[in-house]
Amino acid sequence: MDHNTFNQFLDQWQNDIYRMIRSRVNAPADAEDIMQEVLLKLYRGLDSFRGESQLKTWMYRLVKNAIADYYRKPWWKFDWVREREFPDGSTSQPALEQYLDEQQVSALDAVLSKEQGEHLLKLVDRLSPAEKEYFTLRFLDAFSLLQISEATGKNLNTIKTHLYRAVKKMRNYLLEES
Amino acid sequence: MNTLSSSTCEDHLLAVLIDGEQCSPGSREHVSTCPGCQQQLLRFQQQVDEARDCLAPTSLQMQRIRTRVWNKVERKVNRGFSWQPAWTSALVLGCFILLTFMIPYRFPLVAQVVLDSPSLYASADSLEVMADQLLPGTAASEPVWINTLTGGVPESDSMEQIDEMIELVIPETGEQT
Repeated sequence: MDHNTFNQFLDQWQNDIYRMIRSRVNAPADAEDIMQEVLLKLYRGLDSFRGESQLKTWMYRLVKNAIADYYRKPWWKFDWVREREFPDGSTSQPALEQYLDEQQVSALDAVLSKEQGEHLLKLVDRLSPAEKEYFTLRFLDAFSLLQISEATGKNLNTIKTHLYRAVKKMRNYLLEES
Repeated sequence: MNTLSSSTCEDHLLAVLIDGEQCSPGSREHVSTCPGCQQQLLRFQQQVDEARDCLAPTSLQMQRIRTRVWNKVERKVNRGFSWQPAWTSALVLGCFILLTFMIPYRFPLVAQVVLDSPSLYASADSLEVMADQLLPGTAASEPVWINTLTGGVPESDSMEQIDEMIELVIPETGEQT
């Protein structure tokens, strides 16, 4: 696969892939490392992707495996020289100013919006692992029920049951606070 | 105004939220006409969108990730071998094993000169060389000294010599009688 084709692919999918990782990994630096591994696997595997499953479902599996591999990785395989490759040397989450520049929104709106978004993510963390996974897939990763079923290999009714519980819990959390 | 306290509203709203386009037409119609449900749905979608925005990467992050990916791809394509810390550790470990075990065993003289200490694996030859260096002449003239170290039997002590020594200590009683 040539650089241009892969760059075009990244332009289309990079936000979805990063979101998939970031919603499951708390540390931004870890998320970046995992994203790098996922992109390398995609680069190697996209040519051989035969479309037996949907692209999104396939990417979800890659992400899940990459996260599991990352936390299983022995210490000597970590990329210790990562910072040296970048002149800016920054590996942490960018500052709020940069976020505001990129989002092109007023400071107050951005802060409020970011706070509300982060608040919802904290509430998602209170769900059980299964509920959290299905809620994240359905609402944050924007998967359809069929895609969730294909990606996780679970029965559609099981997924619906978990989702009903998850949404009800989320509503209760929000009502409690309001 | 309908509120979510009504179970019907809640059921319809959950159906629309979870099933999306696949939910029953009745639920879709209810949510689109009920102001309370619509308000709840909009609020929920707004919060979800905000959460999604929080999880999105910034352009700087993506630039950094892309650079790292292309660096790795090019490094593998161009060189085929990358100088990873794992390789370095393996090489250092290999050298350590070679120096510690193999050299003293195979080349005792080298071990003696380089490491300046006899190894546990040093052979009798190396001890002989050492003895010769420490006490010149003793290794050749006093083989017993070496044999004491190596635990062997002195070559010069033949069976006849041993018999003579026994005769000196215990004279043969048969001849006296």
